[in-house]
Amino acid sequence: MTKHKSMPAEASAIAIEMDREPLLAPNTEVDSLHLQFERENRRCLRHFVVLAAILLIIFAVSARLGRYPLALSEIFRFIGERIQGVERSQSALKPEVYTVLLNIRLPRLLVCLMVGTALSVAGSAFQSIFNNPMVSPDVLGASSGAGLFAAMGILLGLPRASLILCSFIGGLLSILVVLSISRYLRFEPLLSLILTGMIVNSLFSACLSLLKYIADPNNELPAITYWLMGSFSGVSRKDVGFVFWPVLIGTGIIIAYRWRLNLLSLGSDSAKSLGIHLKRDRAIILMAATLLTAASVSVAGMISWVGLVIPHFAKIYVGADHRRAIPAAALMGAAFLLLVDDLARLLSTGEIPLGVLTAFVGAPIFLYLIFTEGRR
Amino acid sequence: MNAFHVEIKNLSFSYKDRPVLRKLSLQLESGRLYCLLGNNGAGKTTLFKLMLALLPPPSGTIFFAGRDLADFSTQERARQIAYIPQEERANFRYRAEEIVLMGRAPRLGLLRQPKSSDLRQVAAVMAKLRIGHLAGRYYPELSGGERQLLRIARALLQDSPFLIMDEPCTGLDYGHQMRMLETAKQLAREGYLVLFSSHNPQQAELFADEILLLRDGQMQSSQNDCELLSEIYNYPLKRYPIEGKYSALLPDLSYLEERFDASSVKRS
Repeated sequence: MTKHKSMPAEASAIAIEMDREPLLAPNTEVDSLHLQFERENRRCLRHFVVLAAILLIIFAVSARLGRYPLALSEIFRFIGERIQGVERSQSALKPEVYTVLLNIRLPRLLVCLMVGTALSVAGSAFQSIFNNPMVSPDVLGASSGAGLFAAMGILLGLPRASLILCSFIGGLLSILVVLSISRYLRFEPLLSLILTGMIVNSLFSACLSLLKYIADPNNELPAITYWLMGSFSGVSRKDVGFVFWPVLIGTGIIIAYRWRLNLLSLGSDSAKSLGIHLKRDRAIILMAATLLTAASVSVAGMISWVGLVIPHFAKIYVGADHRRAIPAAALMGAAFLLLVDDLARLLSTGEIPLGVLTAFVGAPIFLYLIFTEGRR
Repeated sequence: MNAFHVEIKNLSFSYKDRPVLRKLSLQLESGRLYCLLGNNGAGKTTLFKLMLALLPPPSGTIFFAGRDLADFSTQERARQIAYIPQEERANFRYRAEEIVLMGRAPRLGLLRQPKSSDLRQVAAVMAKLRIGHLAGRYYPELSGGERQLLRIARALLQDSPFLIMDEPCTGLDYGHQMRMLETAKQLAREGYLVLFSSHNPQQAELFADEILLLRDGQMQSSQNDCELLSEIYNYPLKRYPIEGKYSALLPDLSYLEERFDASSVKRS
């Protein structure tokens, strides 16, 4: 048996070892297997081109829709003028187009896109480290904690910018409470987590009801209620910058960890024996996912189901490997939330709260998913 | 592969008030296949988990090639010892090759992604273990034996010279059990130090270079093993000579005959 010529040093060490063994593998088989793996990787790249294209189309179409409909040609001309750096006063477009796009439509779409990404990526990360495809940011109380603290912020009359900090602290706190209580339960670890999550969730929603009871019914109560149902209607230009960094950092960390998430999902014994620094890595992922959840809750309120349904879809489309599933979830989540937000704007003259719509859309889809999963 | 020793000295460990290991000492050498026998709850898995630092640190020391294992970082340890657990909760539909690829983790930096050369090693190991046909199939949907082979492939990709297999035969059909043990023996011949646990003393005798008997939290010297095994399992065992260098380790047949009328056994 001859050694493969172009093999890197490490691989050839294994090959030499194999050569003296009777359990001999012909190099042709290694070659063909390797080729098969590479081909599979390339095939998956195509999925991403499709997803990105879909997202782009949905974004462009969503930019047209709304109380003030725009033509696609207006949007393209707007983009063209921005790229060429044409002054607003010298634009060939109507001034309303600029106002609508810059102040209302684009900020809303961008925030919507980022929140969709954040929730889906956070959901995937939670599912991976808990080794459970049924976990989502809302199951473990991160979003109800974030919601409660943000409502407190509203009640205290804090500025919008410090609400994100409030909800982050709330989200983190609830996750820590859930984790530390569940450690003392004597059930299976995952069951303990979900049970504690339920308890903390209901405790926090009781606190929230109390806050609503205390709140001034003329201005604070509607603000809290409407915001809890989830909506992008209040989004302004300032919000774009303010969700951007937490979402970038959280998503960046999780994407950087995407391959290690596979190992983290194996359970603690296997992960540790494969050299994973479990405590540290879990904590980092948990922080990143909580940051994402808190950022979305603080700007758009509670939007359920996205973090549960989208990771499932991503895995069905590109496979369970988080190297692909995480970026796919990011793209799909953005596209999904843009679509749902379009519905929220178009279905009635008043805006339908987004959390209501995602539940209406997400619950049946999820039901369908678990039916088909069970049958497999 | 360089020859090395693993030396365990005065290892004691207890779960709360229940002592499991009592000043256990043990020496292992590379290139040999060791089988650990002991009744349920004797502490076989505990011993494995202590070597892998999956439990809080015990009293006593474990030396790996002369170095105290307690000084190893998680990653360093994973480069020296690979663990092949008995079963693994598979809640995500990873492909077979993705499972095997995870074995590269201790060799890659924290945020590095596996490259084409890593995939090539996956291909090499899968071909070597003759599980190339599993490529592209989903881990949770494979049989127990196939999953076990994938975990072995993953452990081999770790390039660690010390392999620990927790009851590798449990849940496998007879043919798979024998092939599993053949693979383990083969790996020991290649220079790996392979330590596995089993509930089958006959298989241990057929394959292992050395049998380790764990009782009362200590290693027993394996002399007069038939009596000792009968005590451990609380069941009469007897050795029956057969052809060649082997002998059959069976339940005491006269005892069985006494208990049940042999003629009542139907053969189909």
